[in-house]
Amino acid sequence: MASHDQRVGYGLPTLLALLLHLGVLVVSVISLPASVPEPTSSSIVQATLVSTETTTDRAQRTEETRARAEARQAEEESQAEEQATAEAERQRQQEAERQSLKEARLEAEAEAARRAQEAEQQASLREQQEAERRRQEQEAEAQQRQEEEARRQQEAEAQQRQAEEARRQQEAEAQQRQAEEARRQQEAEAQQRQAEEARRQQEAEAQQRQAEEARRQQEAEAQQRQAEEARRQQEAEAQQRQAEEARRQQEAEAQQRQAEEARLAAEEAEQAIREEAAAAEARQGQEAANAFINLVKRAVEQAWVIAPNVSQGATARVAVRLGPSGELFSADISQSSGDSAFDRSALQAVEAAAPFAELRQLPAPVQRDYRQFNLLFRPGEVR
Amino acid sequence: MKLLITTWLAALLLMVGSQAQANLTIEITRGSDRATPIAVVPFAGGEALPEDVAQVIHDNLARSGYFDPLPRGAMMDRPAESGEVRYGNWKALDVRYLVVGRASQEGNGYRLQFELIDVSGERRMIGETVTSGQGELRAAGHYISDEIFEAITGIRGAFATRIAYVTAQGVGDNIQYALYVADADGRNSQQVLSSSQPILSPAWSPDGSKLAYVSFETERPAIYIQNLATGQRVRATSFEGLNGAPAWSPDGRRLAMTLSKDGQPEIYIMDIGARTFERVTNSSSIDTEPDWSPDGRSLLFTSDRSGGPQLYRLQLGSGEVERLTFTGNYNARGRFAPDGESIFLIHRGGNGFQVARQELDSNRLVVLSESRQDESPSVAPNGTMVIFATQQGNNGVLGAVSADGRASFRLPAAQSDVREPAWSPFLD
Repeated sequence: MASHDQRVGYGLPTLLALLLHLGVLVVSVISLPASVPEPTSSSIVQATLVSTETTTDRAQRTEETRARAEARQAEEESQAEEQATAEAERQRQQEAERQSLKEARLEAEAEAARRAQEAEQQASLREQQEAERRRQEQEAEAQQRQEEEARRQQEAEAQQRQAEEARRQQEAEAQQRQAEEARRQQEAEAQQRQAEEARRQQEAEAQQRQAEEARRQQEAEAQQRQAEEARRQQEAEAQQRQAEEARRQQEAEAQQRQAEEARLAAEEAEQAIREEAAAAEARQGQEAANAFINLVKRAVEQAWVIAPNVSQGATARVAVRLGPSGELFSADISQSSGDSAFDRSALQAVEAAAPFAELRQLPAPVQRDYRQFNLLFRPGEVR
Repeated sequence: MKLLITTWLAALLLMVGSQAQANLTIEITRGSDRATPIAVVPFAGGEALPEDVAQVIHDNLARSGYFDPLPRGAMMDRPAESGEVRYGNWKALDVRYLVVGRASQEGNGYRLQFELIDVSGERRMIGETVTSGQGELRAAGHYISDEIFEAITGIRGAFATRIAYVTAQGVGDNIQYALYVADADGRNSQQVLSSSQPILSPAWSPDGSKLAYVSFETERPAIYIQNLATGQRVRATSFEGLNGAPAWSPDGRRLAMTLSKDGQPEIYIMDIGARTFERVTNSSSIDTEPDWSPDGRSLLFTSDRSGGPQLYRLQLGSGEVERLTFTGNYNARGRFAPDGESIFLIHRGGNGFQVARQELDSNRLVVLSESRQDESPSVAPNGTMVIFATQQGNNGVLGAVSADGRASFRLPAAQSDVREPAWSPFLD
């Protein structure tokens, strides 16, 4: 825009100057003939050239001219006319001189104007060039700026794109993480469910095992009973045989020894079986006993209503005896808390929790061992 | 060889096992702190009596906070004596104790026969026959309640005690003040004094025969002592200024009180017989609301010497004063528990003015009541309950809370706008 203005600024004056000078030239050319009344221009030019050259030459020419005019006029005109002609000649000479001066001035002026014009043209050319250069520079700058701008914009866009990209990526990652989390949670739940399932299965298996164990035990007992039965029968037979042998009194001692030995061997075998069974039962007993103890503890704690004014650190010991079916035979304070209300609350808890029928779930030989125990009442945590 | 090892192993296991059984001890560390379930069976023949004695007992036990009586509707049968009790029924209801009885008219009075039974132990704990005069059936019910309470908890019952309180009836200048005495359950109230001027701070003498109180009847506060049986009364003090907050010494021979005759309200001890006064506090602040320790050796009182009201203890022998309360910026109207090991007081916390208990060894303060404008706590002679005045709407009512805060209830009063309750000592 600026460059355009500048171009207008220099162009128009230059054109105007040119026009002005052209105008001056035209005016001067036009005014020249108007100011000269003489109809012929060739003579005037000639006169002018003579006047400017050496006087001698002029005089000669003037002489020649006069001679020619005299020759011409001598025939036609008088001396007066000669004088008038001379006067006119003088006037013409003066006029020519003025004219030549004016022309020279005009020429000089024209020259000056031309030079000025040239200078101006040069200046204007230079200016134009300068303007052109500046314009180019400006254009270059503008272009550079534009390019810079474009670059910056591109960079900004690139950054924005990158940021956008990063955000999208983060979102994607967050989603992925959430999905991961959800998956993990589901897995954890699934595991928990599996664990729960496994635990239930184990419990069910444990129950099954117990039932099987009980069945085996019953079978073992049945076998034992059969063996015993067999033994008794053998004894009876042996006795019968002894009686018969005594009655017969034949080979009594020999047979008797044999019978005795057979009986001892049988007894020893039976003894071994019994002991093995007892050891196995003792092991089972320990496991079952733990379950029984926990059950008693839970039942009594649930039934224990602690008196509100219990003193801190009160402790009472209750000796418990159970019947074969877990029924309460007796519950007695074996160590008093010193607070009869507290002692009674302990006794009542045992009495309310009884009977402990679970005793019968213990292996038979162990049952007897758990028909007697102590309960130590020591309020640690009150619900 | 195998046989020998097996035998030895079996013997060892059996030995270890049986040794464990000999010392087997199961620790019981957890229990329930719920109130003890009990059932009070309506007395056989009780329908014919003007008062339902079994109901009186039932209500008393419920209010104590120690018991959770079985509603009558849940009872499967109604035995009248221990021989008729089907224990299975009561065990099924998880009832630990059972009260059964018979009631009948006898001459001009009544004959009440009751038994307390330990259900789970299937034992009869106590049994008694009580005779009562006309109009004394409720008192008999309170007596039986006391017997049952003590037999089970080991704590002497306080159902047969009384309370004193002040009422204000009317509006504006027409307010009539009255001093009443009623049963501990709020029933059976009797007017002791009536005045057009305020009555304040009733206090029971240790034998329960007299009340000391402040009356403005002479246009100026004065402390009076009135005999409840005869109605006779004497003016104990009428000094210039404040005459307030009388408190009987445990031996009943002295009264601690607040007097401002020497300027600031200070605490004085009056020898009732000799009519002499001894000033026991000396500070530039207000000292008031004295209460005697059960052993009579110290006084609990309120003082604002630290800025706000706090409780202090004055050793009467040495004159040494010790600040007791440090929780919050308002603790006042202290009263000793009967065992002297804790104090009850009015504590202002986030929920307003509430009854609180503070153990004297740990200095731990526990808020007991659930109301917000409580005042004038007074402790039952067995220390299990605290009675206090509180506001219900614009009306003053009496509330009570168990010493452990587990049970609380409103006391019914025949009068409106009740205040300044005082729980009597045991009345024998």
